Amino acid sequence: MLTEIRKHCADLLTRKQVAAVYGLRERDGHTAPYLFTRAEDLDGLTVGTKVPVTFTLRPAKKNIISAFQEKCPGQKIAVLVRGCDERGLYEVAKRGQIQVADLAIIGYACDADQARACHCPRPHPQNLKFGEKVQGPSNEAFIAKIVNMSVAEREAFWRAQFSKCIKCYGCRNSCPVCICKECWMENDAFSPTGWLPPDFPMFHFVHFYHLSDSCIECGACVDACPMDIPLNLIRKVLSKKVQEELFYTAGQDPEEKPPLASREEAKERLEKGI
Amino acid sequence: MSSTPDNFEPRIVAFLCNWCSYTGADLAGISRMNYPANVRAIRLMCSGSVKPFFIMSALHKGADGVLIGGCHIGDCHYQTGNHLTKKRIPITRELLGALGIDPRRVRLEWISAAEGQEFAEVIHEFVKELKALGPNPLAGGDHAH
Amino acid sequence: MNYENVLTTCPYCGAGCNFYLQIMDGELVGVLPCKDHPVSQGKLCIKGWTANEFVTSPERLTKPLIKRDGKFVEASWDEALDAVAAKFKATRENHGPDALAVLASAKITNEENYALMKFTRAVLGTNNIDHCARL
Repeated sequence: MLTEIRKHCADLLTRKQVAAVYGLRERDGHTAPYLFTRAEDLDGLTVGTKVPVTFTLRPAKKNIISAFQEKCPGQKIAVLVRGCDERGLYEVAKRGQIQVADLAIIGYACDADQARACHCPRPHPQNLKFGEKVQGPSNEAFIAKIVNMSVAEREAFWRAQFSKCIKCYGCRNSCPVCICKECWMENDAFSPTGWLPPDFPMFHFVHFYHLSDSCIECGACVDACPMDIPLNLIRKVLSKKVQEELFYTAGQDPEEKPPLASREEAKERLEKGI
Repeated sequence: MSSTPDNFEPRIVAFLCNWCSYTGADLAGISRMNYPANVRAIRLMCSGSVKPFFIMSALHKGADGVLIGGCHIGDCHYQTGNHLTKKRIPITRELLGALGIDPRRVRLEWISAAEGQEFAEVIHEFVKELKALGPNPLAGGDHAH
Repeated sequence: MNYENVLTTCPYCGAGCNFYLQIMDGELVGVLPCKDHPVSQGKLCIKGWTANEFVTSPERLTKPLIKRDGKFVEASWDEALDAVAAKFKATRENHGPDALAVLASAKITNEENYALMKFTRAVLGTNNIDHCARL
């Protein structure tokens, strides 16, 4: 798959169909995002790792791709994405930071092992060009752990989990959808500066709620957590509720509006068949 | 939660919309209806301005229950403010439940300005339910601030 | 346009977490955790996550300041080092070497910390040296 992807990207660059290819580069055994502007550099291009290509630049609070688009407006950039990268990109586009029309989205599918490692229910992008679609593991089985607990057991479980929190903000910083200029997680009314661990469950409640209709289930927050708090347990419970209650799945269509921020009734959405 | 003292009086924070529910509560008062004095009413311009963080904050600071009162769907003074509320509250309750905070502590009711009786009944019911649930385990928080 | 990530070690504590510094057109735009680094494994604390911010902070001191008449005034390095040396000497003469103490830093290298330890014991003549990462 990798050879084909490199060849395809080299074609795009040499025929000047795109100004740059944004993807992952492996160097000295480490993989990081890189903007390829010359076809000869594409030997370093790699895929199939857990490294995301969409994230927010801080302190600018700007998505990386939106930063590219600001630097060279109107120019076509090819982006190599997995399912989660594409969904993250769409969520940011919904909020007006990315112009999807100016992107050539090249998707590749993750294999079953990767999907299992990320608990990813949709391990392939809509713009699938390389690789075979595989079925992701079921969310139902994953969240059963929390669903089957009593309310009191859940409280005890989360108190223990959140007592480990060191307030590194890694869950927010690594989130591809967290682009708010003013972050409620930094609000002293919810988690005063200097208190560790943050009060149960204020600090986390803010993040959970605010992402309930935009979480794309990429698992970046869990990967970034130095204390291994299983944040995706709650995120998946909420995603399910948003699907059932508001008939909405995040990351599907860049033209859709996030339901909790729009005044459209859930019923109307269902009737429109979205 | 199991050891509920007999004299437990739940504290309810009620976020009431200025145009309907607050006026409804007012009507209950003017009409001299009896309802338990467990409610602390906070008047907002619209139930749509009740951020879920306010609900969480009230619970964290010791409220045993939170009532959100708004206009019936279709009657919102701002056309669609309560549509936002209608979508937010189920998600908020789901999140609270998943975190181990009984979602029955949060209640959304549509109470119009003419429904003083309705308001009194809601409070009666809610107090009864909260007494059965017992004091909010979050009350006071981990740190005093 | 140019965008790349440069792997580096966190300048703060002694744990040795690694992360990428994101460079866009020669400008430092952010920090990115390195998932395949054996020490930090893609995880960072709040200091690592914000390690790019002090580089271009407008509050960063770029010149030595000496307090004169209650106010900080810009000075040359020679003036500043002379002032420090004079104060050290005076304190040592008037109150003995144990009136002095040195706090080393995790933001400098092992070799610099070693030199600082030697300076404290051999030059100043006291054992009063400590380090912020002596956890």
